[in-house]
Amino acid sequence: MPTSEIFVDVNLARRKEADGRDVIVCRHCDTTVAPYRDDWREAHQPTSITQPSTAGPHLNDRALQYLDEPVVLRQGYCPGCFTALFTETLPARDLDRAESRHAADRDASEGGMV
Amino acid sequence: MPVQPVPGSEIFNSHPISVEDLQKLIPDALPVHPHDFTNVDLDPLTYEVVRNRLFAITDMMGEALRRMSGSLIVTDCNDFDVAVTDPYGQIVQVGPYNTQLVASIGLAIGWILKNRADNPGIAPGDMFLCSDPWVGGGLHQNDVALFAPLFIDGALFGWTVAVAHQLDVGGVSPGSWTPRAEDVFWESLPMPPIKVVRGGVIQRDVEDAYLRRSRTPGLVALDLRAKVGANLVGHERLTALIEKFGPAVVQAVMQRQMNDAEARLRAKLDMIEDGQWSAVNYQEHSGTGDRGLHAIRLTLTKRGSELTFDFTGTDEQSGMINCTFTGLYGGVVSALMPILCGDIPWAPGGLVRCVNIVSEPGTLNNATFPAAVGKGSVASSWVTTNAVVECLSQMLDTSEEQRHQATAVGCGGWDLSVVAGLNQHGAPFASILLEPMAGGFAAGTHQDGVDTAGQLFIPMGSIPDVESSEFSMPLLYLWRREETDSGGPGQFRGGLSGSIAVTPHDAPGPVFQVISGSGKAVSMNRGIAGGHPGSAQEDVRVRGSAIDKLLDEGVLPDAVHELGGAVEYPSNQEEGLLNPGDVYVMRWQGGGGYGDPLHRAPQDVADDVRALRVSVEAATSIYGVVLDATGQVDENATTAAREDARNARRERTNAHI
Repeated sequence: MPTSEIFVDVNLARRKEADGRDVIVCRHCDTTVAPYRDDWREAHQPTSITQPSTAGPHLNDRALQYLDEPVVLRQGYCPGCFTALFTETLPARDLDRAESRHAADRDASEGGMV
Repeated sequence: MPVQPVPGSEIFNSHPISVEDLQKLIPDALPVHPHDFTNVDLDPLTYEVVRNRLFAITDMMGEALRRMSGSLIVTDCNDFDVAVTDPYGQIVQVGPYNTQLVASIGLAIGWILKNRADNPGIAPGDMFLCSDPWVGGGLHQNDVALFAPLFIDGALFGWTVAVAHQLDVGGVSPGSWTPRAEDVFWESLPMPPIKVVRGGVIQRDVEDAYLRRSRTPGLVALDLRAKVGANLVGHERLTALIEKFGPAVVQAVMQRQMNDAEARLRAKLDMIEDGQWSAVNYQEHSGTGDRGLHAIRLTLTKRGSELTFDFTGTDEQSGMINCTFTGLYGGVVSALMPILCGDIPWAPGGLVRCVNIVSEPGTLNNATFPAAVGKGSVASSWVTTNAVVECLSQMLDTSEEQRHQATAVGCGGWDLSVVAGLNQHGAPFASILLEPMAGGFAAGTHQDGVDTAGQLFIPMGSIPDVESSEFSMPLLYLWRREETDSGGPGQFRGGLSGSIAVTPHDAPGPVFQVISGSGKAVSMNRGIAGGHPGSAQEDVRVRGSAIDKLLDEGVLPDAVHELGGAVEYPSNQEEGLLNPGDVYVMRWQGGGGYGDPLHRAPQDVADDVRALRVSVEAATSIYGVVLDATGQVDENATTAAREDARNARRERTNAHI
């Protein structure tokens, strides 16, 4: 039984569970999306990493025409109903930061810290 | 070559200063009108009449400036603004034009009070001209501000200010945009506050020193008089108001307007849960030859009714895309007003009391002298605004009562194209292609973004008629239109952007061109809550096109591939020539979307397809909406298509590139 709930946005709410856990839940399917923290998007799973043009005709894959590094489209989903939670283009190098954060979360989780 | 610091230049750095501290620095020779009128008994009717009169005065000042100017960017684009402040530069009322231009004028007035009150003095009939972005009053050297102190009964009562973008104020490149600038000495040299009007008379020597640097001195001189005129209108109307209600009442209203704005913003913030939100916004290319990405990073912390904007982690200053601290400050305040204060008076003098700013000198939006800052306005200051909008909107989205004010990021930058040379009348010209003023507005939590609506912080922005542009520049427009699929997809769709195609026409020679924009590879116009970014910016140059032949045959092309010739994709920062027969195509940025496109009402998608806002292909591939042959929603096929789209997402998460 949740004790309180506040919006994060149209898709998500922050919930204090009865056992004290502070989590983000999907407002569409009530799936627990992630432990709450301000930068939860950084290491969110599941995500897809694709070429920007997969988003549609409003984006292009010409990054290397302008830059010396690749650019990707990152989209994060609710693990339950696969609602898109965020959609962004970013330099591929930023994925390393997200991956590091995810690995740290995974390690912490295995150690029972999250 | 690294930028070499100039010892002593720190004196020109403006930073917020309290009224109390400022009072200690003002010499006794400058009498200042009392501003503490907390005991004045203001009845509500008088307060509202005077408060609304103050807004009307800024409106009249703006109208005076616009009618007197002769440059398209002012007369047709409204890239200027005006403001009224109290004696200490606390902004009581900003005009509804480009609010970024006046958001930091209080810092400049503080600087003038500290550094000009004793020498050369501040007296009735004086006006100070300033184009120094480190001092404030504008975002880059092209934003030339004119500050006019208003004296009542021999004491400084307040200031009126008029700021406008000037088409050319010198520097290596026409239009004063220099992508190859290595430091500010390649650009128009900043002009710290200088008394250009003394006792009501424009000082010829000072004006000559100002105009001598410009390639368009006639237009700049006219704009100077337009700003003088705007300030005179402001003074005339303020004086009439004071004669009617008395100086104590008017000053009390000015102070109460700021106090009310502060109190109402604090009350609004108190209703929102405390928290922290972050955003990163990138710019591509800091100058000619650069191929890097440059990030402005922001963490917003809300505690009670205080907002702290912490830009720690922002990349180092680089090339010519930097802005000074006053540009950062203007970027914050000009986002704060439309996002948080739609129902609160735009009295930044009160609003900024809720704001703390943390920033590291030497970074993109806190550049140190003599870094190049010629593009600060539409580069790092604008990107600062993008990051602030994204953070504030995430904050608002957590509040059921306040989330209706949240938006994605609209047009995330200005697709800058300066054209210059000799026009078809044989006269020198330098101008900007002004259509990006019609950027796509961002989607909100309850509504689509307005198509080609303008810029968030320029409420009165507009674009010239094609005929006006063609009259003032040796260009022929092949098209100017809204672009299908340019609005960021979402449950609520971002507003469409547009595009233009131009070719030199009746030009005595090649047209010099500066292209200086960003957002071609990494989106600046970010969506939120699953919404997509709006369309990427795009510049295309077609060399040696068949345009003359096509026009001779009565064919008006409407796509790049119909033009023939060689297609080039210019970099984000370059200078070159547009030759007869070449065609330049610019597509600026659309607004970001809000929410998952698969959650958009199918009927809204059908309406978009009918109105050419969304293509049939995008309706299916992005929104999962299938239309029948008559354009009606096929409900069953749409349900199936959306389920397929979710399954495709599930599969994609296991197959990263």
